[in-house]
Amino acid sequence: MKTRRRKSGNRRSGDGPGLSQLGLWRLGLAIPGLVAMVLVILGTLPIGVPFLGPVLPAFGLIAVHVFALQRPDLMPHWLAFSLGLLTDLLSGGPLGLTALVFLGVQVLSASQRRVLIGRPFLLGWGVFALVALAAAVVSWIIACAYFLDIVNPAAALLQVAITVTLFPLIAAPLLLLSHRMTGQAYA
Amino acid sequence: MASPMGLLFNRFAFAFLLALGLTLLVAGRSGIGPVEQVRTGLLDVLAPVLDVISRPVAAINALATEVEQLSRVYDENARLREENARLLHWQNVARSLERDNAQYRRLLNVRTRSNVTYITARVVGESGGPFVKTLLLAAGERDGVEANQAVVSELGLVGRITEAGRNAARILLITDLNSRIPVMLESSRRRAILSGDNTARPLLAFLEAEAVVRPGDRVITSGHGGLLPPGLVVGVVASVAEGQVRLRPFVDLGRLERVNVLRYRRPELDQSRDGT
Repeated sequence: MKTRRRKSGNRRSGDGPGLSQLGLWRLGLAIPGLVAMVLVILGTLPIGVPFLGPVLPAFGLIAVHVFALQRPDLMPHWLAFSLGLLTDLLSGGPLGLTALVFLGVQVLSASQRRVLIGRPFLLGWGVFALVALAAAVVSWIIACAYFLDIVNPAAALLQVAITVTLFPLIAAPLLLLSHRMTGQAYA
Repeated sequence: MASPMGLLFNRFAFAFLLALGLTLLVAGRSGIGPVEQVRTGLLDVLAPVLDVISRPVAAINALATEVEQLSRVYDENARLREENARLLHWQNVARSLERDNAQYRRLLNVRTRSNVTYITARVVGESGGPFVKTLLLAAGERDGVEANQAVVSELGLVGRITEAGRNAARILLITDLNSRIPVMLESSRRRAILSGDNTARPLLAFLEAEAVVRPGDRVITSGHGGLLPPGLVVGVVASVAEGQVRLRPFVDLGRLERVNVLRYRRPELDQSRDGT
């Protein structure tokens, strides 16, 4: 993510002429949502790591963060919320917990846009670590309130560690994708 | 998007979703509304998808397990040799006991009722959340899976079914915060409630005060409450400290690929009444 800023309000001409002529690129606007959905579903599959056992990285969180940062127009409140809701429905956890957390992450990440766009990837990684930690703390607090009990936070912290570790692996393709889509926005 | 109207709409959308999320939490907590039905419905829709994509993942997991096992193949081999020798001895003991038992049963005219059958099914997903310990199963009501049935692997108790859709079901693991299983110590028959707390080692709660318990004691289901069949092995006592007794489950709950769902018909009082 070098300094490729978008000229807002313009569609870039000459980029994928076939697509834009047909108006098919509009379909592309649904891509972040679909990609994020696939990541959420993948997140429910236990992936074995030698010596660590199965881990469940919060791939959905990465998608919400990256798209909210890169293309806030394609990751609106309702989409982040719906992705969280899907996560809750799949996980069997308290319904609404992840929905609220993703909504918060979407707002938080979008607000960091001015600070982060065009900055080195490492800084972005560090900021994501903070976002993921904040998300874990908030969801832990909600979980404690929901279960009326002090829930063991170890699993949540482990998930943060794993998600942050895997961040580049997931975020890099997402960044490429959102860069390619840059300029096709704001019809 | 940047227009004042857009901003206002944006604010409104945020507030609305915030309220919706909180409402869902409260509704889910107090069991209002069709939260469970919606959840089971979605499970049904997604189960076939998960079933397909979990197959390659299962292959990767098998590879990971192999890599891990390769590193301790020598130790493992030595341990297994020793265990094999011990088990051969036990096999002889068990055979002769089985013979004796059958003989005594005939003598005493004991009525044994085997009312447990089982369904084997694939685990296709795990809870995505750090606050719940559940598994998704690629079998549902169509296959005879119903809520509250016990789920076991070849090593012992895994959990019980909490939701069953048409072709998918959710297992609440014995380690989950909401899991409560009536158990007893195998040797002393002292009862307790196995109570999950989201750690790998669930607690043995409400153990009778005079019960003597040591690490290594085996724990089995007691069958009280009638939901689970009695005598299923669960695990061994892992630690006894500060009044907290923790259990190490026999089953590696993180590495399950296939499990058995027990169809257990508990002894009905009504039936015997009808019979008289």
